[in-house]
Amino acid sequence: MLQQTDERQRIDVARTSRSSALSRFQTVFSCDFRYNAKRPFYWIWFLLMLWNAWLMSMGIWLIRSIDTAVGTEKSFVNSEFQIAFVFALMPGLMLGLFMAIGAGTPLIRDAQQKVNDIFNTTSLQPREYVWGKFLGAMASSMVVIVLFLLTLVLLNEVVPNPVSADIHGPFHLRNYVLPAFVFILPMMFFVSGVCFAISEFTRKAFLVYLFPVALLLFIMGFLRAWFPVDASPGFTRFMQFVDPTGFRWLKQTWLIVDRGVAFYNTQNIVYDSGFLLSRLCYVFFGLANVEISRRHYEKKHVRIPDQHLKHESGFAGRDESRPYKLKILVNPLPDMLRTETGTFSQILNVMRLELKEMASQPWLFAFIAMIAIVLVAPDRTGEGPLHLINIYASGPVATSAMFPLSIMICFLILFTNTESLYRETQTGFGSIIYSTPIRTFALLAGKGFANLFVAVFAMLVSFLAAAFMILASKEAPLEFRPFIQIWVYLMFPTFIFWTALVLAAFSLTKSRMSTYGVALAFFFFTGWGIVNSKLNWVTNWALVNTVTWSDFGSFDIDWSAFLLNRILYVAMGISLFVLAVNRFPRRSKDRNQRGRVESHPRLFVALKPAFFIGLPVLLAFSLWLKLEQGFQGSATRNAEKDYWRKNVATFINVPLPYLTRIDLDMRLQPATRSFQMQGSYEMINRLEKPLYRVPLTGVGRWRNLKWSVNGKPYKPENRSGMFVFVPEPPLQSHQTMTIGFSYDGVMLPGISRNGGYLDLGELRRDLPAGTALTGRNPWFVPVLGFVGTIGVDDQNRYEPPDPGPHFYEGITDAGIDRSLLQTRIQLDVPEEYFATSMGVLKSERVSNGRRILLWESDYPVRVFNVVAGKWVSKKGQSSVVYYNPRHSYNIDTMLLGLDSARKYYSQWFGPYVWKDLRMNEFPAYATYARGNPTNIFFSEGIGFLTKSLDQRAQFGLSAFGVTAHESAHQWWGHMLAPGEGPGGIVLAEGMANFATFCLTEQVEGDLFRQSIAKQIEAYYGENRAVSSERPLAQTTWFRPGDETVIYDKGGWVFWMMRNLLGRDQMYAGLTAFIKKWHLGPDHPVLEDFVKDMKPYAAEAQAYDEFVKQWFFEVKMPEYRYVEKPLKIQNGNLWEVKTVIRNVGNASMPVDVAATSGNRYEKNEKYREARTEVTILPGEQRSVLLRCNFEPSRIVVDPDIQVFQLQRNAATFRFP
Amino acid sequence: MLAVQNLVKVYPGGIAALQGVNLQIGNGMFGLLGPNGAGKTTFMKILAGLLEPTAGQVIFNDTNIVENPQHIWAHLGYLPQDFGFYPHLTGEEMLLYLLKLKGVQSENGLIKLASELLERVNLTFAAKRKVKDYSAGMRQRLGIAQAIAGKPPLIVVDEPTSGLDPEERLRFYHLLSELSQERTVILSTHIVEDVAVLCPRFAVIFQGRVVSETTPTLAISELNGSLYEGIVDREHLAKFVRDYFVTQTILYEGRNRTRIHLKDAPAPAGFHPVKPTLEDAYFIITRHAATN
Repeated sequence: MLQQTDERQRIDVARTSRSSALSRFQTVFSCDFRYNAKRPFYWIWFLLMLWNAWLMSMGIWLIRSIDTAVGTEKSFVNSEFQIAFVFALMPGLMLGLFMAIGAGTPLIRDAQQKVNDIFNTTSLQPREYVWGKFLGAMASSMVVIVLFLLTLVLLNEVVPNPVSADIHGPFHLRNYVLPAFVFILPMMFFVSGVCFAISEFTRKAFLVYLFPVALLLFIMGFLRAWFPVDASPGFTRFMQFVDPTGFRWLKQTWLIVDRGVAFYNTQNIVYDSGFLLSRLCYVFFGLANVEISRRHYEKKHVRIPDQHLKHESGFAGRDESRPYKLKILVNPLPDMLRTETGTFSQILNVMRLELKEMASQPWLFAFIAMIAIVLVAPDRTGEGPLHLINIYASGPVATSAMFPLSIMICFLILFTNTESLYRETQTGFGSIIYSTPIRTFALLAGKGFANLFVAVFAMLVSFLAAAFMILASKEAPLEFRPFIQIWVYLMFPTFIFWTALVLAAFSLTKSRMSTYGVALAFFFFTGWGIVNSKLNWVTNWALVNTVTWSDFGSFDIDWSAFLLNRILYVAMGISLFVLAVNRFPRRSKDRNQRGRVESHPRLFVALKPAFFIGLPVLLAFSLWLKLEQGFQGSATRNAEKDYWRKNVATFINVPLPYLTRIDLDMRLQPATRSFQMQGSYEMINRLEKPLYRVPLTGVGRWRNLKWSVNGKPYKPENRSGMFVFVPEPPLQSHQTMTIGFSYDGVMLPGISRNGGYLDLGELRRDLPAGTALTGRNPWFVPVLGFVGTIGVDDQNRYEPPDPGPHFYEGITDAGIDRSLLQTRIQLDVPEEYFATSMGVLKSERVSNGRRILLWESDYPVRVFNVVAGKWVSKKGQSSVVYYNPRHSYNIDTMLLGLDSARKYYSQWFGPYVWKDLRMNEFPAYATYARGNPTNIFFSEGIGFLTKSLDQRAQFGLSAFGVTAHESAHQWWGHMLAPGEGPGGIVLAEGMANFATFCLTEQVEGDLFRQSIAKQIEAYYGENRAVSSERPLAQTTWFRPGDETVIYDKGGWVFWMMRNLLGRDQMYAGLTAFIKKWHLGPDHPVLEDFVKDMKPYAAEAQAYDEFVKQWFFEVKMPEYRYVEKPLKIQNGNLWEVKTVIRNVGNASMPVDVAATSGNRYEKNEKYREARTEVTILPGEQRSVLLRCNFEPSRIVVDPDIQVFQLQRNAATFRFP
Repeated sequence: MLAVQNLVKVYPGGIAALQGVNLQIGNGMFGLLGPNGAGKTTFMKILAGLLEPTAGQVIFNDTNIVENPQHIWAHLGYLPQDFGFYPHLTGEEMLLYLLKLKGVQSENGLIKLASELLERVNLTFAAKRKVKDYSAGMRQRLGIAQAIAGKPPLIVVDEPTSGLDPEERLRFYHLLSELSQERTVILSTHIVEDVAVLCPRFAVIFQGRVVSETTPTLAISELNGSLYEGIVDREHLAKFVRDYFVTQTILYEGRNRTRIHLKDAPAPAGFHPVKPTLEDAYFIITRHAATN
């Protein structure tokens, strides 16, 4: 009995103990949870998430840039894929800091409030305490996320916005729950657990905040952006595993190759077990960090261990005060007196101490070094336009690093400023310092300046990192000017503004956490503005995406906008600082209304801030006015809209004459962006019917405009920029007329909307940096007919008309540049410039500081241009390049490209009909090129600053390739003008890519061609829009995804056609094709092309099948290994066996090879054994290869000859 | 001269920390005595310009510092009740920083001055040690050193002897008494002995009101002949407390040694008259205030 009683007592004690433990845990948990519920920080987070839910429900976040405004199938915002896409990005980009602060501060707060000593002398166990704190914070974060989810469901399913009703599909709970569990939850546990551990081990709030920022850097700079084409499956898998967001897995498994809107709308994500296991690992890792924290707390903070400290000299562990002896002090105090110190001196005192404090924090330096390394040091060039990768030059580096560096330094300023202000409260020093004579202004200014000094230090370190990389790369010289202009003049005012904002937020909220909440909310809204292109010169406080670097001159267009913007934000910084000083909680305010003590009259109090707000408001208003009056402002937009509204119905398909000759006299003033024009157009009516009206578009707001018809003054009807000429008598069939004009013009008047890359359509730049203008530009010269791109935006953009089947029968006009004309263009430019145009240079003279050049076409052209710059030139065998004297990197390569093009394209496509071939460099305000006849122009950001052939051999296009592409347009685009209608443009752009393949193969070798082809193929796979993609022959370059079809798929299809026909037959066919269609008036489209090329095919049936599949259907092969390939050694021979399946929907004969060595490495011996197979869609084939070497890989299509999806999946590496 | 006129402070929630305090404080030491929660720290913070009152004025050198707190900061040495320093700085560095902030200058230089000030508070041995390694008493002494820096005409010390051992407290008494010869020193404390030793004049604050303003001598003399002490058994103590004005009762060797205040009434049996102390006066004043 006694034993039973004892046992029962033991059990009762145990139960009581457990229930007490649970009770204690619950106490800690619920205390923190309730506390968090009242904190503004969590409410700010919640409100941001609410807004995010609304954005999601409106379809602001989309997997793809599918044009949901036009009648394509639309992505459902509530599909599992769509939600998963956002949920994978959201934690890293938006939630990391919130989660870190939520989980990383409870322990620090308790330590600061000195409650642990009391806790540790109660029954509370470390396990209960630590887990209670962590789970309390996690629960609070979970509540925010759950409320967000509920709101999202509400907005998507219960009360969807009627405006966006058609982007909401059927409701499935799984679509919300699974992505939340798979993507958000593991990230929450991971970030929260790690930050919790950091807070326990270091008790430094700063380090807690650094972790999510470092994670953000890692995600933005690496995980989200770097998807190497040639990565092995093992490496790919590894990278997916180290991505805590899960985004890489989602993108590479499901998104990188577009599967179509219908797929994403209706299918569920299949999560592979490996991925799910990795997500679980992140959860466990987070929890493991908490458990480790618990052990550390138990070891270090419950009962502080004896550390056997070495005692300092004279200190034996006790206070060594001497026994007191009473003595009469004649002078109890030393001689001293108080004087009034100047404000500057006070600021310096505070600054010195703050800097000393910062210098004692090694993690600050580590963070700065991390910023420098991650943002600046790696290859910052990345892949740019036309798949090019540029050299590591100072200007582009300084520009590309500007935004991420600004954001990182702003984070740094946020942390250091806030913690510096909070330190007074945290240490209790505030009571003392606030009662000294130091002015509040000096106190805040000292802290602010000290933190700005940190920003300067961070910039300096980043500059050193960039300088080191530039010098080490030996690609371009190090220049200080870009860094000074961009990082000092432009970035520094951002930091002034931001510092003041943080000070003001702290002064107003009086809370560290609320300051972080306010700042993060500000970041979030800025990010939203960036993503949705809502920023402009007035609101763009960090100058995001405003700078486009050009060695010709970066600030020609918007220098006044930059200046006003920077002054505006410095002024706002001053205003915010005044607000911070006025509202700083140095002296606790009395909140009672009755008997309130007022030190100043109400009017003065009200007017004082108004005085400081006035200047920023005035500046903002001035900037806004300038913006609205500029070439992207509302005045221009309204005028262009007027043009469209008045003329689209009347003139869109009106019959037009053809130009036969243009005669222009231009005087250019690049310094003022102005020009004077005098010229004439001769035109002929080639129609059988008379023409009663001849419309010319001119929207350049020209001054002193005068017209003439056949030499006589004429005043046409002006319909908002459409000038309508009514010839008397009407222009009869085959009759000519001449329209003359003279006017003064300004290109790009005023300022842009937000700087940066100006997507203006056709080139129109007349700047001190350089001039690039074309005859398609109605701001520059009158353009015949209605220009359908003026006045068109997202609201009124429409698909090109569907001409229906057989549209190409009969006479098909050219798609663009319908006239074949002669040109005479005289250019008058400042002496330091050189200017080019079409044809040959007839004369050149210099007088009175002006250079006058006369250019005349030696053979008809279809478009004209004018390009000018402060150049030097270099001649090749039959070509010349005009370029910035600092950009000599690739000139020889470009000359090689030009000369090779002339030689080989003439052999393959027909003789080059003009005498000269030139290439001109223009400033990088636009990043494209134009292969206009005889006078090609390239942006400096393409080709001129591209990495050299040797450096980029394995990575695709080089300057040679781009030159080859643009040179090909002499034939494909000008000698052969594609017809108007679907697929026509493929004959220009697709053919130019094909020509590039051929020329690269010819001059550089097939390995380089393979490299380009792979890159283009991967780009197509990633950027195609399956749901809206049309066959090549029906593509019009309107829908998202059309561009890669035209360029990349087009080039590839012609290449495969060459393989089918044979090289010589293909070239013979192409030469004949151009010869047939060269002079018009009928112009070909793809239907004509495939018909004309058929006689050159050896087998008509094979040709027809090929044409049907690649020109008239949307099909792609895709290969997978059904069985893991095996290699078996048999004596000296090796056998490789596998089964390959075609999971695509197209079929092509394709080689399969067992290989060893890397054919792209010069020092490696490459060997292979191959066979050819043709696998129909959905079928599989066994493959057996025998080789006399041990193979390391098995590759489908080792020579990169067959266009396919997911090529990497068709390569197997033997372990 | 410091003149406090009708000072009121009501915290959110209706907590009236000060309910109309009027004081005239001249040169010398002035004590503010009161129990915890009486409003002493609130009063001190208002004097230090760190807290805005709900109503009232504080005139210092003809300036109302309620409206112009920056005026007092230039003439103030303040030792708060609850304060701290930057833990990573040494004591000397911390003091130097504050000397600079206060605009203190010395012919021999600030470093020498800092050294002398630290010597005054017996912290020379720890001058180069980081503040985070200081004991509570050492931090208090450092706080005293910064409060007296620059010889401010007004020194406000709030509970200054908490954390000090008897020797240090004695040293501090000596220092403060010397300082008060030429300036106004306001000492707030709940330790009666501090006032008894240091303050020629003092006020008792109770529940936000000044219930007495007097001198220690006067306060004691008023109790002459009215204070008695005796032993009361434990079982009779409760009734005894009801029947008489008990000022103190201490359990000593199992029996309660009790002091009572009697005016114009015979003492109970076993009680004999004793010399009153300031502590008795304080208890009587506060008990009367509580009753009223």
